[in-house]
Amino acid sequence: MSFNKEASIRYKIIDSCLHNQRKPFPSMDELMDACTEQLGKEFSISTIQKDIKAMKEDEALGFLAPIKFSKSHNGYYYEDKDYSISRIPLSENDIESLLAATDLLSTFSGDRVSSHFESAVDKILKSVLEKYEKAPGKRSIIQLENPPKQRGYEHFDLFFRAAKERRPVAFVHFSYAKRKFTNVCLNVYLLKEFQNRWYIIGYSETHQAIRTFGIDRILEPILLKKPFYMDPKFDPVLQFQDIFGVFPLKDKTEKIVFKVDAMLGNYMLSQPLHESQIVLEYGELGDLLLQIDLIPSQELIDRFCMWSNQLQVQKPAWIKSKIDTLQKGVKRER
Amino acid sequence: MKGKRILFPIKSKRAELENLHLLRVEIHSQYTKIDFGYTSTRFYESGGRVQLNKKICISVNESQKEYPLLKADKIPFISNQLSFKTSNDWLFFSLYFEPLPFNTKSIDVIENAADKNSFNFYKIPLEEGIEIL
Repeated sequence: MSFNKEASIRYKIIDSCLHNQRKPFPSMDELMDACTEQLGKEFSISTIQKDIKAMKEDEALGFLAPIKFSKSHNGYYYEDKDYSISRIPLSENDIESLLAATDLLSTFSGDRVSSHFESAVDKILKSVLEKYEKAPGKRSIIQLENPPKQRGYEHFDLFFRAAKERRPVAFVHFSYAKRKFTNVCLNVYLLKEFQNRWYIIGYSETHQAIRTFGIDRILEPILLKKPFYMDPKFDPVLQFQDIFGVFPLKDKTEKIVFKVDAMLGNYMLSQPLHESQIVLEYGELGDLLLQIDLIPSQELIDRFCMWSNQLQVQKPAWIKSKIDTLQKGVKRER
Repeated sequence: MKGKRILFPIKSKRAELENLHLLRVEIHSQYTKIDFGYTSTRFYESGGRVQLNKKICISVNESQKEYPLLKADKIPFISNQLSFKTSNDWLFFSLYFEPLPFNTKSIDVIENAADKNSFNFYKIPLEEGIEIL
């Protein structure tokens, strides 16, 4: 055990001795005995004296504990009976940071997370803001995206419970593309957010494979009383490491080469599409030839279509042709 | 909700209407719930409309005993109708009937046997039921 960690435990032991109502005014010997008993080794008077001094005076430690010695009781006590090192007063800086954090945290209430988390977030916000009320008229200076609620989001808690308690779930899935309803029995492994949409990932007994389902296409999920199956090959990090989005179109990574104009090039350089992104060529006018090496996904195709006025895929041919087909389809519909 | 509940996912059992699917049957001690999926079609302008006859019932194949409808969820009864807005719309709805015995093996769901446009399903096997938590 490191010195600091051991000292920190001794501070807690001393603090609890000073709060012990059955044995008030603990003497130096009693404090030493308590530390010895709980840490399994002996401590000198000077160690405990230094601990008390640090708890009282060390500004870096931040306790500034009001410990006093009573001659009449031959023991130590807290001058402020309500004081405890577990209720350390916050500095001005701490309070400022905490209020900024509550701004961030508040964006995670409402539609961003389920009621399951919202009540916990709400409790934290209330307790912080009650104690350290914001100055009147002080404006929020951080604002995160707060998208409209997604259909199916009301099932978030059930899927969270299913993953946590390892309970299989039965639901009906409606595919927008195939316009087809399917009964699914899913062993839920992961709840994933991508571009403000939630997805449920797990082993589908219906498909006999790992599958991803958009929560908006899931109808009436029900927890089942049957054994849970954990696919030993599933790794939540590896699963999404080489993909932009959640719905893979291929099993393996592919090198995708695309050209962007100067304006989009600025954005691509300031925030790469994927960590594998490299610049193959710099054009004279600022246009770029870029390459990414990842598993092609539906979300990547959608993103390319969105930027079609500024981006042109060169390789592989099947992605180029898929984008062309999608765009011709949209023009025909219009 | 207390009491035993058994879920029977139904595999691709179609009605005479190709765009209507009976998806699953749940037997509870106080009711039987059946979930359906309906996709609107280009055959009708703006996807058409749906409505339900209150006389729809379950008939158990072994006993021929009938179990009447208790309530419908997300689909209106005749005299009212749900009109789709486009041929891309879809509907997931549920019907609640009187409770079936837990050992039921096969059922029919009949709205109007004489009408091919009605919600009629025959010989739906209730196999591989899973207990609901």
